[in-house]
Amino acid sequence: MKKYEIRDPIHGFITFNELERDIINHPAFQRLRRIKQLSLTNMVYPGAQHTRFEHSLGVMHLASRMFDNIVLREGEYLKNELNYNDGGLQRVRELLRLAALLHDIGHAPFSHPAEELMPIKNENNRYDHEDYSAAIIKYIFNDVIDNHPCNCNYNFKAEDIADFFSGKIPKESKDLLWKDLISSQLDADRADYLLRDSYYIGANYGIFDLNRLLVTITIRHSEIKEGYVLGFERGGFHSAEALIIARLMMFTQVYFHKTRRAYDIHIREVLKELYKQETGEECFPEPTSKENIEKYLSWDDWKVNGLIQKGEGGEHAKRILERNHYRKFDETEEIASEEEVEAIYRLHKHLQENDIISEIDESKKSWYKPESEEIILFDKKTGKEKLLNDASHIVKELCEKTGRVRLYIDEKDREKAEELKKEI
Amino acid sequence: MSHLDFFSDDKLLFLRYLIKENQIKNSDGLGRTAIMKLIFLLQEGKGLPVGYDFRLYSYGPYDSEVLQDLEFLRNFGFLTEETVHEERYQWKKYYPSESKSEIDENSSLLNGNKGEIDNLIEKYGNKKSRELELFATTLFVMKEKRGCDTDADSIKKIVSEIKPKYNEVEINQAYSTMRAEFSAVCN
Repeated sequence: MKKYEIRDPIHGFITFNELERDIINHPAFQRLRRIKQLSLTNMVYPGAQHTRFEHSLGVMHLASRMFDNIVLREGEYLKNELNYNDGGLQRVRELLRLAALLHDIGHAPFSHPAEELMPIKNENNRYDHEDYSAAIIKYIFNDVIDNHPCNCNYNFKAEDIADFFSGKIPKESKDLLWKDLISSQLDADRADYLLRDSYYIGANYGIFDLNRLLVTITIRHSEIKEGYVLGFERGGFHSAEALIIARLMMFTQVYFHKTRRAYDIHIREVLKELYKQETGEECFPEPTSKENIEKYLSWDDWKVNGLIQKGEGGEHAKRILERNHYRKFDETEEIASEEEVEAIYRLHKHLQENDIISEIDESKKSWYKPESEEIILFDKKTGKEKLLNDASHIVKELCEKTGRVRLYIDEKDREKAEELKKEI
Repeated sequence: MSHLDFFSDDKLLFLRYLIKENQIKNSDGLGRTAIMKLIFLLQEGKGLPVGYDFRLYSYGPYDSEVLQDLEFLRNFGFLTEETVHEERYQWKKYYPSESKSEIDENSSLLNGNKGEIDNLIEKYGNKKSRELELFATTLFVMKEKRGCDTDADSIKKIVSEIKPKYNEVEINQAYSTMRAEFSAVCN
């Protein structure tokens, strides 16, 4: 099979085959060039101009590097415990690469802030970008994948890849194991975006020892999680620790940066206004038909920016054009007390009752919030296992610093807001 | 949204109630895996609109938001934790905090569903997480294959492929238990 390569600032050269090339060249994938990875973070860090396109290539590359390292060192374990043979491993490697390549294909313009426009899926949940990714693979990429001459050896269907995101049972049930490589606390997605985002914003917060991580990643049956999981060997303790620290630093310094979060509010409101104006609808169409998916895919950052440039999008669009964002008025500590949280909500209510624009932002609602970590360290000699949180005091301490709440106001109201604050 | 919603989100109240009821009925705390699987059984088996988004992994139905919510409640002092040391690993048990054990049981999720929660806790709250994991995976497969003309043996075969560490007797038992308990959603 012919190989192609593309230069990447994070990983050097990324190679891909003909099937992957045809997916990359598809207009639905090229759309990712028009969706910035970090939304309007460039209003704070001007270098943050990179897109979901190069990130997707990076995740494909890293997922297969992780896979290859695991197979190299745990090949016998995979064959004996999970009945993989060489052909099966080759098949799942390609399946994993395609899932990694397409994992972000369902992002809306400006990524996460647009998720509030996604329709309701069931009683308490909205669809998310992974649901759209699964639908795009199923309805748009089925022809490219199912009928590609390079797929004749593997014979998998687009739906097999979509199952990685939709949470369904894959055709080969044991393949569920590999889902951790694109959807867990130590996945290729996270490893790529930390390094890539750091590089483009021009900071070193997200740097960790990728090469050490790659040679200590392993697979074992975990009694803690009652299933096969990806984890680290004991020797990878410090690289795993560094990954978590990098992620927490990126969260506090970049993803939950006070000004970046203000622009999340503005672009969210712009998207709501523009989408209603252009389609007459409040929400994106459900990811349940090809027709709906084609409508969804017609929206990207360029379309939104074009409308903003024409003067559409209302007051919030004007704020983006003039870099006149809402300003932080108050915030709790990183580990907020119940009293602090109550005080900030009381202030929020008081401001609103006095006709002051007031927006609350909670770190627990941020897409990039640090999750409760469940990374497992395995000691192959003793057969023991331990959660990284229990093994590392640093990680345990840092993971608790995620309860911050902020309050934003329009800067012109600051004086009046200060007066009102004194009243309570 | 008032400040009360920050702590009185339906899911958070539900989690606290689940853990509190288990302590009352079984005089014990609950581990993360057990909590994850009990919520899955209540949401997907009994139809309680809890609002988590479970997806299948090799370690069964899972939503990382459950763990975030547990940590959130612990950070704000609504739950306490205790480390349990086993021979080859350790795990955490969650208990309701003594100083913050009052729960507003009139929330839309708890109101009208307490009977189902109590009943499930009584039957399954004292099961080992290993058993609950198999129950949840079996229910997931049964629900997904519903209407696909999949017979019992095919369902057990899929469960066995996902969970090769369980033997045939355990899988048969789990299938029968889930079939009897959740027949309404599996047919």
